[in-house]
Amino acid sequence: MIEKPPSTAKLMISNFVRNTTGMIGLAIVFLVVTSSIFAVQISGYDPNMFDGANTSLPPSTTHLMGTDQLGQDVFSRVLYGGRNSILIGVLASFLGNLIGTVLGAIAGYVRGKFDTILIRLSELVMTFPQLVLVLIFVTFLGQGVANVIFIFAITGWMTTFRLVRSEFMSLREEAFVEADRAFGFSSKRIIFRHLLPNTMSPIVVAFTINTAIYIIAEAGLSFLGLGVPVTTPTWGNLLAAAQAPVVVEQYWWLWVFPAAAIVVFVTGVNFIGDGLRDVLDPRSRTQVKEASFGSTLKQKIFGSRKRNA
Amino acid sequence: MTSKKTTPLYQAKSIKKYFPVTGGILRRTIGQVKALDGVDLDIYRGETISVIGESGCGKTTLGRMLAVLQKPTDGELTFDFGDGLQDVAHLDRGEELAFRKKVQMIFQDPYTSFNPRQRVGVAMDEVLQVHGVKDPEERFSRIKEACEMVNMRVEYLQRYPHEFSGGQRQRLAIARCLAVKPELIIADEIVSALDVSIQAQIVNLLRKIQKETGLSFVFITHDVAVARYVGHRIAVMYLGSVVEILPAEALPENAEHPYTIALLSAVPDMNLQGKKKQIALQGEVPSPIDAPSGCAFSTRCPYVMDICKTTRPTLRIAADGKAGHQVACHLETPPTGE
Repeated sequence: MIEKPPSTAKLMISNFVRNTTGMIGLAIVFLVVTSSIFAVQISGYDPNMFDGANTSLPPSTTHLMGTDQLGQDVFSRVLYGGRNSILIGVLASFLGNLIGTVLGAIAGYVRGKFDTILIRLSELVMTFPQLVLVLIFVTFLGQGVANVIFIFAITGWMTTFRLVRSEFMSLREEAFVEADRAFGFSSKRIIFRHLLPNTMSPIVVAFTINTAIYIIAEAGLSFLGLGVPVTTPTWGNLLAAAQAPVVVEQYWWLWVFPAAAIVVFVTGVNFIGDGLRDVLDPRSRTQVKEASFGSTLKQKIFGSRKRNA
Repeated sequence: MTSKKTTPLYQAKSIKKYFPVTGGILRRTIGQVKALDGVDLDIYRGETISVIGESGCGKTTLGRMLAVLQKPTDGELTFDFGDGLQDVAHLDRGEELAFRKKVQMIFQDPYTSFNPRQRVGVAMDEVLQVHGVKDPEERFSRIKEACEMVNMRVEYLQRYPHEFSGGQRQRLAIARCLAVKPELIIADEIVSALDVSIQAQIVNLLRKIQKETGLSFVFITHDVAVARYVGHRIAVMYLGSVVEILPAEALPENAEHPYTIALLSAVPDMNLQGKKKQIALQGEVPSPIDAPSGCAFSTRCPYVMDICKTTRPTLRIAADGKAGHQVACHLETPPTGE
């Protein structure tokens, strides 16, 4: 209707492009994801191919990250393992966040009995250590990528739930929500169109943190032999090889490279989260522009004040 | 404004709003805050009615009742949609939307009354969409018209709320209401968060809009001078009830309720020669949790009689017989203020 300004989405993208941290994170994640998709082509080896003649070789030009006890190429396995690890981390985090956000939004806005029940339920789930819950579920559902995703999501939604709920409880007291109600907006519209965008930055941060946590959790679970079956390569399964002291001492390439892959990817995801948090807040937009002007000192002096204004 | 005085646009009859006070571990109700204790108010077409009173007298609660943001504990709210007065306290979704289109509200704090993540223009557009204006061209022309009324350039609408000053935001809030084409606007302390110079700007703007559009306004304020300047009639509230309603031009000489007289005498006066004596009321405003049983003002009234302590006075025609002048007081001849 009104003479179109550059759309909000476009502005956000152009601001994200200018956000150094975010772009570095995006580059890392992009690199890791594409190389795990083209694992076989990049490494030149089938990750599941045994080679009895070349077992436990240290890194060399033919096997960049060496080979394991069965003669499988570690580079290929690390790249290939990324597929499952990333899938588990991202999907579990997404699902958990989705459950937590929707329930938290409704509970925080509507309050009442619904809220009481959910908050008690989340407290109940949280009193158990997540690992114990996961172990219980694994024994019921069995191992497997899909099961791990499902288990992480239903044992991990409470943090997001509580976060979103408390944000909504404070936001619902804002005058603009009152104004929305006075205009006759439906609760659905107020919750999802007006309050949710104002909660996006903590949700995005929670998403990136959870992704990182679940990738590490998958590694831990697989290390214990409870996550994904050993036959499927994941970063965690590869790390599990380091259970034997002899591997830690003599075959360092078997655990250093998967561990490094986890660190690199998780760092990338966290960088994206940082960048997104900056970009999603319209009040920080002018700040981003000014920062790209080059004066970090100016930003230091005026930055915090602007944000509060 | 006098021509259509016969039937009110909006009528509030003995509105009560009690908030429960809970205590103890079992969170039992141990008392009630009587925020509104039987308020009668008629709002006519094309008039501005100012509601004044000190902090905690229930004027904001009254505004929220009139906008049906909260439901009254007891009493009747009836609105004239065009064919007589209808109950509006209990509406279904469709009726509620129709009512909200007619009655708009502007809030005190201009800094939080817009969604910080939404461009102001988009916010205005959304309100019109919700109220069923399907054609984007018509939405735009209505928004443009509303912006012209509040002297706001349409190009500014692509900005975010934080890019405006308090006064600008309050003007935008007014424009957002006007775009819906309501019949009544409830303005709750809309100038109290602004600088005095900006207050004057907004107040003049409201007067201009009222004259041009013939809308009804309920103007809630604690500033007697602003109330007199904006309103045709002034409703004076004390401890949850309206003690006097009087025409703005009748102030301050014709005030009949002892509280109104005391309140008006406390307004600073620039005229040093003819300076009137200030009436200093004794004591404190009683707590609305255990308000006096009779007249709310009976504990502090200098003219208190026995009947005041037992029977609650209701609004009646004032002694001077002026149109629109009502007072809730047992005194038959008004005190002189001396």
